[in-house]
Amino acid sequence: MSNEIQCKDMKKILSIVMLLMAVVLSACHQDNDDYMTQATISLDGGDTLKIEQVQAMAHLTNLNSRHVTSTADFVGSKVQIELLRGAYQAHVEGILSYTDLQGKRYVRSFRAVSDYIELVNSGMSEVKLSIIFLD
Amino acid sequence: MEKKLHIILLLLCQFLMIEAATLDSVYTDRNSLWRYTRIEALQNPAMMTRAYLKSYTELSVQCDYRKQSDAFCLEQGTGFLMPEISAHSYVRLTPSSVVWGEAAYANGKCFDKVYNNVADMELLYPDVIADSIGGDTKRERYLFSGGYAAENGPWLIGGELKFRAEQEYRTYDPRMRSIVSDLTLKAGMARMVGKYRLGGHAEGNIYRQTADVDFYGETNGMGELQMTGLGTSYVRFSGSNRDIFYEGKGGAIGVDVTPDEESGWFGHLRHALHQYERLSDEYNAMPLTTLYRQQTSITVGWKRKTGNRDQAYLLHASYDKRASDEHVVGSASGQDYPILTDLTMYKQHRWDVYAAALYGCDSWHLLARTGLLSHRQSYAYEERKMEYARLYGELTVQWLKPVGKDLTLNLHAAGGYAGNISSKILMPYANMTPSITDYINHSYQYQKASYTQAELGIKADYQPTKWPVGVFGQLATRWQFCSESEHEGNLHLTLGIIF
Amino acid sequence: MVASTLFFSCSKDDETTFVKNGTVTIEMPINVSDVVLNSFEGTATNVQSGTVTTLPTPVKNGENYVVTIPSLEEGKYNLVAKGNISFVKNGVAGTTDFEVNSNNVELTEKSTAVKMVVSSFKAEGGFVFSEICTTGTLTPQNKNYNNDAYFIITNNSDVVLYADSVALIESQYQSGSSGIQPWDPDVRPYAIPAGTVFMIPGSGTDHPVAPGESIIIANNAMDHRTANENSYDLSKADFEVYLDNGGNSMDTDYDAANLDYIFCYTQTIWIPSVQQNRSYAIARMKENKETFLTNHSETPTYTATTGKIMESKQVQIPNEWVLDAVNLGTEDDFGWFVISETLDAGFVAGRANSKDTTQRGTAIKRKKDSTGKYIDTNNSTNDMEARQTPSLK
Repeated sequence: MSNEIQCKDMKKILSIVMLLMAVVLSACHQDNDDYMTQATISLDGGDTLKIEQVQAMAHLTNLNSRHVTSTADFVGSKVQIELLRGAYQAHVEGILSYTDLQGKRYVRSFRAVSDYIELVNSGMSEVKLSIIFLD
Repeated sequence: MEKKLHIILLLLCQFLMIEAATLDSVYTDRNSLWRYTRIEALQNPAMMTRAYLKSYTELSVQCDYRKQSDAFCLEQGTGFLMPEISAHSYVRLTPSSVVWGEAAYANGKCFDKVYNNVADMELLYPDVIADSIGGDTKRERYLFSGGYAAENGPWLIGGELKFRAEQEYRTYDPRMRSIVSDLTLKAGMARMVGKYRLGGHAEGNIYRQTADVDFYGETNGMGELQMTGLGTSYVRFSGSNRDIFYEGKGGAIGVDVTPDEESGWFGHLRHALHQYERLSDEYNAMPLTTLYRQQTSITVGWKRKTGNRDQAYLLHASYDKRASDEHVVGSASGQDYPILTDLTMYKQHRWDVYAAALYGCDSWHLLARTGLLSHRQSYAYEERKMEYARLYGELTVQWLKPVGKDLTLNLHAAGGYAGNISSKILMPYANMTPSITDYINHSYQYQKASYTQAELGIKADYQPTKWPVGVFGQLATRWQFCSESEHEGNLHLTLGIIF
Repeated sequence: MVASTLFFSCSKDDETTFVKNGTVTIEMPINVSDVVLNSFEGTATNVQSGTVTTLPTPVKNGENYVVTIPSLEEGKYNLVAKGNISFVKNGVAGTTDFEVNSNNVELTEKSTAVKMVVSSFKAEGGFVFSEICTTGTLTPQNKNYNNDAYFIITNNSDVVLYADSVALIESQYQSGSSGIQPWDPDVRPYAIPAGTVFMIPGSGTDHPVAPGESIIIANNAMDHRTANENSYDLSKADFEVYLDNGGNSMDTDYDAANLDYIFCYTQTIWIPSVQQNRSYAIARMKENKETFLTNHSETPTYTATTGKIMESKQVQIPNEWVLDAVNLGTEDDFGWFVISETLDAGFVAGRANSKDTTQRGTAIKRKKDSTGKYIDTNNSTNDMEARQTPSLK
């Protein structure tokens, strides 16, 4: 009889313990694995001009690691690149062609820089850089 | 095959029994290799009521010395010299309650530590502050612990407190200084269920460390790296940011099943979670990284002790995971640095699975262990990996030999081999500086190596019946030979009194 | 079995995939034409293994150059491309070295094409006056010596420019208040009224000037220290002004190459403004001498208070041709801009007043910025400094 009671107690205790362990084991730190963002850098020349073609190298420096990623794949005034989520310094320099409000076409050297841009969204991030003409 | 082995051991046992003089059971209880089957259960303070047959107090002075021909692990250096004085005590207050305690003070030095300017690197890796110069360090440690356990009918309860204060420092550039305080509180209970004790315990831990590095020489000034794993560092806050502190907290729970007598099934399950946040003093207590550590282990075994023969078989698996989250810091406004997001850049998975068999006959014990160790580290971007796996085997022999009535010798010898069975490294070498490349390659060279170990030790306990106090001395040496043609020598010496 | 999949890295990861026929397109700037790649050196460094692969010579494809990559292991690469190109920009021939790099570029079976862009650079308007020394010197006997004027023209751009057809121009009018006259037509808004034009000869690429290098144009390319020990040695000048008008010239032809004589208000000998009250300019002549003199000669007039018609026989350099211009004036008497203010919005005060002779033996120099380039904001008040030690002293 006492053996049966002890067995029952044992089973009860063991099942409580297993439950506790399951709860505790699942309460582990969740890794933050969402590393990358699809960043779109857009060049902004203002309302008076429409950018047609951009020929430039864009260098993005991660502010925390100083790791530099480069691309020249501009489509119109935008370039898309996959980056590690974080804060960046952006430097774009090259030539672009644009038309003004009268439709006249210009080809000019430009630079667009920013010392701090945030590209942290998991998924898509977008940022606009203002252009300054070099000539 | 198994049957033949069993017969050989039986015959050996019979032979040895003829030779043996009588061993004191209290001495055997404290010193026998058989204690190996109870070590894990004793992590539960409630189980301490049955830890030892008799009360004892031990005061000793000891010294540990290690020297490696080349640092197997650059961060740990090429060795250490650690003298220590300590006191251990286990006192049975009443037949159903015990109290125990320990106090120790160590003051020594470590040699040639590089890429590591903190204390407790084994705890905090990879989130350490480091430089490539390094050097010898001085280390001072205070340890206090105490506990109480009691039995009442089928119930056992116990509690334990452990406190460690440590400082590690260097007296020449780069002058590192780390101060640690580490407090652990444990509470446990157990219940007699039939022939078994079923117990559970929980522990909580609070950890603090301040670490800073100074340069007194004007021309020596250089930057310190905030390491983030596998040679990477948090570049933005490396350099002149030389004052950091760690805030840690965590806990563990354990479940134990252990036979009341020395025969039966035993099992132990432990799950621990700790986190250590590294904060920068120079940037208004800004968190740089948080290390999350999960340690889970399970042991299942069976043992039997009949008369002067005993045997035990067990299987053990442990999993140790480290994940370091980097806090991505945005643009400062005034003194505040906003955290944009957290990314788990560094991960480490370590598995250790082994089977052990223990066989004892009177004063002899033989412990054989074989297992598999797998260690994998990775860093997310740019991708870095370092992995290795080892197959190992170990054999330990112990002989407790009484010499006359007053002297007992405890002799042990061990040998083992850990052979590398797989390894892998993936690094963006073209984007790494030469010093980091050397550091990584050195670490990998020793991680993927194979090691042969040999150990020899002798302990002598001398207590004539007229003496209220016994004296003891221990000398042990342990050697490791690495397949990279390097080696490590260890020496241990203890002198003490026991009563 | 379970243990082996858990503990060991899968052998599948170790299989290497190779990218075949990948391409690197080197895009040339769209604002230049006739681009020719003179030399090329390119490397692709595998980020993980550190292996460096030399890229083959690119092949022209339209306006750009394309490198076809040999079979490369899949992975991330650091690409470097450098070389030298010649081009034509706005009618100006130039050559330049270039170096572009692109880090952590992924080359995989899915992503085999990479683009790199040669950055833009300043090719036009690169020549500037870096020094104008027309003050003359004093002999040991304190007599005036005015034969040692010189001009230094520097290539302030990043590319090799050719000095062929660059002309040295002195304004017809002087900037003091006494020079203000209501000349009609007033061509200043669109041209420089010039009294002196001498041009560097050449077929277009005969006189290359490297970035940062200079040309010295001397009025008389001799060692003036033989005549006046306080003067300069101009015998090493690149060019000299020689008034080669056939008959009346009193000018001496020294050993240095002569500038082509296009126009000069005097037929005997030309002395640049010692009083430092005229403007100097350099321009790229777009027409040969005959055509230019036909198209750009003019004689503005005005009626003086006496009733007499005053004439100014001159040539006019269109403002669009002008590469650089510097207004010189007297500090207390700058009356008017003798050339368009769009060419130079300020002036450099060579002397304090009409009685001031202390500026003798000094030169006007252009300031430099922190990168070592000459400052050229088209405003001599900001860009130039007077009373500097002549660099040829």
